[in-house]
Amino acid sequence: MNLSYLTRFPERLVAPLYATLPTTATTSGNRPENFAIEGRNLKFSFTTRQTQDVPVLKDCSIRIPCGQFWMLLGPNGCGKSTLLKILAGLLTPTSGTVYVNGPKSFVFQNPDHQVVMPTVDSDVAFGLGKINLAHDEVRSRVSRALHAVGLSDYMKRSVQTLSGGQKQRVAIAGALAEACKVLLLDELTTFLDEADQVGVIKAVRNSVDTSAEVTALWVTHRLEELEYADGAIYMEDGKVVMHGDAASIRSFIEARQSAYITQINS
Amino acid sequence: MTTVLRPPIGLRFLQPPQLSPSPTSCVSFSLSLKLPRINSNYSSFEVRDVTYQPPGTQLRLLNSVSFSLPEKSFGLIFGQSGSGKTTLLQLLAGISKPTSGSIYIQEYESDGNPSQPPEPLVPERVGIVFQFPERYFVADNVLDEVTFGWPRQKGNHHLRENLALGLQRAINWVGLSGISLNKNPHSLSGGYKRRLALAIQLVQTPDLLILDEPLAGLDWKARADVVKLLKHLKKELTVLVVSHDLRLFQFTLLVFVYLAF
Repeated sequence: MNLSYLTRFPERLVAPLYATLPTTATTSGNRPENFAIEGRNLKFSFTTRQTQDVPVLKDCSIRIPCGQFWMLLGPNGCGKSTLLKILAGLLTPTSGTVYVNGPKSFVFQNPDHQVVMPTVDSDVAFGLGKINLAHDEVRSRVSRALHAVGLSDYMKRSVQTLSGGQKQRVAIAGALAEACKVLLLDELTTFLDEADQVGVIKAVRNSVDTSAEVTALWVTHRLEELEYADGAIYMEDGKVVMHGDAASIRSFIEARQSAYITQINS
Repeated sequence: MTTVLRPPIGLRFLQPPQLSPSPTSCVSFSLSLKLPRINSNYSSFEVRDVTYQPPGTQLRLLNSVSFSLPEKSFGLIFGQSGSGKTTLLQLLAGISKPTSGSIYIQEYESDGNPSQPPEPLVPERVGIVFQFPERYFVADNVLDEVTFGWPRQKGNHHLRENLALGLQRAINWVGLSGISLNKNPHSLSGGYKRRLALAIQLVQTPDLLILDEPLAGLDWKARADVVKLLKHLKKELTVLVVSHDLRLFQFTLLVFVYLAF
């Protein structure tokens, strides 16, 4: 089952208080340079019980080209998941502008929040009920989506017998069946064993490769996953520190990691 | 009970894994040490032929699991998702009871023979830290969080003194002495939240500390901090960890338990 209906709010454009990017004249709905995801000068803060403003995002700007698989990394508390939820429309930024190709879908870390039907194929088809599709079209979409995530042989399987990673792949298939253009995936591999980790990340990689129109943004702590990425973004303290080449970002983090481990063990 | 600290010793492979033909049962083997002879008694946490089938179900979650965990050693439980690792931890912590088999503490003479009848492992001697323990913080500051489990009634002077000493020791063990006790737990970094969760269990001075995925969801810096901390803790008490992150624990491993379908 795909929860994309939660994310189908009209995209709210909030005028930035201080524009730092030049405004480009474009016709409505069109976008230059073919980006599937764009956030400009995003800020977000929440208020504590003591009526204190805590900034989480401080002027973040990102761009993800259409048809690519990018990863978002950074220390705990740097704002990665907050940024992802703003892109998904689950949170409203304090200021800044968001453009995300629709339909978009957010895949949660706990698959039991999304996989609710008794069998694999019925769960993938669940979200299609609100569209008036012929029966053959539904079957065709379900079949194609399950093939993309490598679960064709599990079509009639009870979801209770699936591993956590397999359930996540079912959730991703549900998004694909609805012709989702943007996948937003929040630390899916945190609780998975190695086989499941590879299964899920390859499912996303294959989904992006199979369709020129699918773009994915994946939050993670695992540096080894960067080898599957087309590009990456590194955040710290609510800011985008690096944006672009995945290998450079991996080297940057690994160098700091080595230095830190040496420091604390000396 | 006199004990001697033992340095890590290379692993001995005692027996190969035995896979059960039934797809829903688990088997285990353990790599355990032959401990060197020493001039004092020592004890070990023993799990013998533990099987667990939740009441009202037909599915066995664990099937004849056995291993030994010498005191003040570090044990790692590894296995695929769904192989029963968390279930095993819950049995050890006393949250559930085995369907059959036993979990006990055995004390040995220096010659390796049992010196006393086996003593059942009781929940009061076990501390358990669940996955993402920071999701269950209840207090507004660090001090209240750590002392939440303390007795509510006023004890005598001796009891209060012991509690205060235990608190100070736990704080020092986990490296929280640089943090203000008035700080809100939710404002701590990821690694420090795990330290706080450990301190909450350590003030109870458990003999066995059980950790379910202590590195999950942590960034690289917090992981390094927690790994170093666990390396230090195993000098003080017995630690048993469920983790998928084998590499990070390799250097400190004494007992390895593999649960398989």
